[in-house]
Amino acid sequence: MLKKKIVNVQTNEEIIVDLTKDEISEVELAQAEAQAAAKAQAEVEAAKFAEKAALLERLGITEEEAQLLLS
Amino acid sequence: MATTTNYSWTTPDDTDLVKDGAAAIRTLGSSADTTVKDLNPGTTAGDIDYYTSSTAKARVAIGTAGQVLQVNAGATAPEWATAAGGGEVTYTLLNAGGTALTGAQTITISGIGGYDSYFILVINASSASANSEIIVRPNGDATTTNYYMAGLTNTPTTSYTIGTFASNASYQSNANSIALGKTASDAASQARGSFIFWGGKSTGIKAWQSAGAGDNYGGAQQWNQTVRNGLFNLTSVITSFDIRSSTGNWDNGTVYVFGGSI
Repeated sequence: MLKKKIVNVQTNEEIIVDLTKDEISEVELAQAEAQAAAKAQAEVEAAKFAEKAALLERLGITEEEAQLLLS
Repeated sequence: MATTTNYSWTTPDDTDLVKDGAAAIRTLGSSADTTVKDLNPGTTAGDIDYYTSSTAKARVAIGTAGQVLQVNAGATAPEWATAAGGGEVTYTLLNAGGTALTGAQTITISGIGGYDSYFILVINASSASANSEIIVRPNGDATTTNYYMAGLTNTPTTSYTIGTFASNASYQSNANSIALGKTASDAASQARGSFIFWGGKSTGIKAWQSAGAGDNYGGAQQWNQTVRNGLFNLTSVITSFDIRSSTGNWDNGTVYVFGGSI
């Protein structure tokens, strides 16, 4: 459960309350955006990996050998 | 008995006897002496005279070295007073030991009003959810038209490249808060940031600067860093700051809030 903690530095009083509906919606939107961005990034990485593997196979060399050529 | 126009000094009548002339001159001279003294009440070197009414004056004695002349609290007379500070701001930690960023998505630091400026430091902030931005909201205000900002945002994949830097301008558009930096796509990633704010006692536009960044924990991605300047338009003085995690409850970190005044 998402919470808000209010700390009064003058009285040292702490109050914990639930987020409002709007605040929860805002967090959920940020979560969805973060998940979408992570998923898109993962797809880019996977596509790059597959492309690299296909190229290595076509060339008939290993990744270590490719790195040796580029060093 | 005849009198003068302005100060009503007594003068001899035309019919007075010559033998009474000496006494009349003494009376007139005495009146003139009193009036002149009233108009020059100073008694000591450095005294300043000021009007207490349209016709009366009083003296204010010289102050001490370095004092400046000012109007008294009742706005009725001048007085010498020690000059106000010369503009040097001193910051005081308002939340002793810092406040832990745990157990809530929003940590509101309240009871901090009365300062001209504020400095906020957020260290080792982490959320239970990945890709969490450290977000600051003065007075918890989420009105998009109140935030004006421009600066730099960098969202690298796993390392900095020139293509990941972007200028960021937000002018009364979609910002409803101030983001300092975002953790990576791993819940263990942490972010740090700092924020300085001027105009805490103002009921007009205030100014701020911020900077912060997440770490690429274990090579994780989607973290970002920001460096921004901006304005905050709220017709209230500052009484609190919200420190929010954009994606979930905080589970690590500390926020320190300093108040600055002259």
